[in-house]
Amino acid sequence: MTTYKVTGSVPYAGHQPGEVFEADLDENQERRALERGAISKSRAKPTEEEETTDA
Amino acid sequence: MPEKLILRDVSVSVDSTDLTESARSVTIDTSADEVDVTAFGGDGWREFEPGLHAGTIEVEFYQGFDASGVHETLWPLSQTNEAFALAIGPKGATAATDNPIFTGTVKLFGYRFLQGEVGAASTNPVTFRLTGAPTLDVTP
Repeated sequence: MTTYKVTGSVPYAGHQPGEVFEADLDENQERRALERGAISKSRAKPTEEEETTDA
Repeated sequence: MPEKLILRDVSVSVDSTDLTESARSVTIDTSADEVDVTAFGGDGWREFEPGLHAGTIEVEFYQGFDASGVHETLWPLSQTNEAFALAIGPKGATAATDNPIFTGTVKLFGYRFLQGEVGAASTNPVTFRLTGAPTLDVTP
């Protein structure tokens, strides 16, 4: 899962502008959406292993 | 009384970007070719069978160059020939048995950068063509 923020002026994948959401977007779908500024990529959600390591 | 749908809230999602508020008309055609299979021994009437299906979706948008708007969304798709998802709902974007969301993988044809005349809204009628069979999503 990757965390994204809707940065465009219209909803993306059912999420409103400004909303943060998690999704497994197809590689090409993600690339296109990032290129046109529809969404921005946020940090990926840490895995359970990473969370354990951090603790 | 049977439903007689008046189009008010058709949803249009192109490559997951919601362009509903920029669209003004839609036409979805999934007709099959009519193949003449008339043979001897008939009763004087031609006989037809459905042949290959083709999916053509025409959407007329108001043109706009705002961020994530019509042009920014459609222009790259018209230049790269990539396939992407198109979803159209008769009564909004929430799927239901009485609002099947037409979903398919398409390619974009017929992009018009500008169209119109003085004093008129610039519209952009575009044509999407299905690359395979569409689905009708009725799961909320």
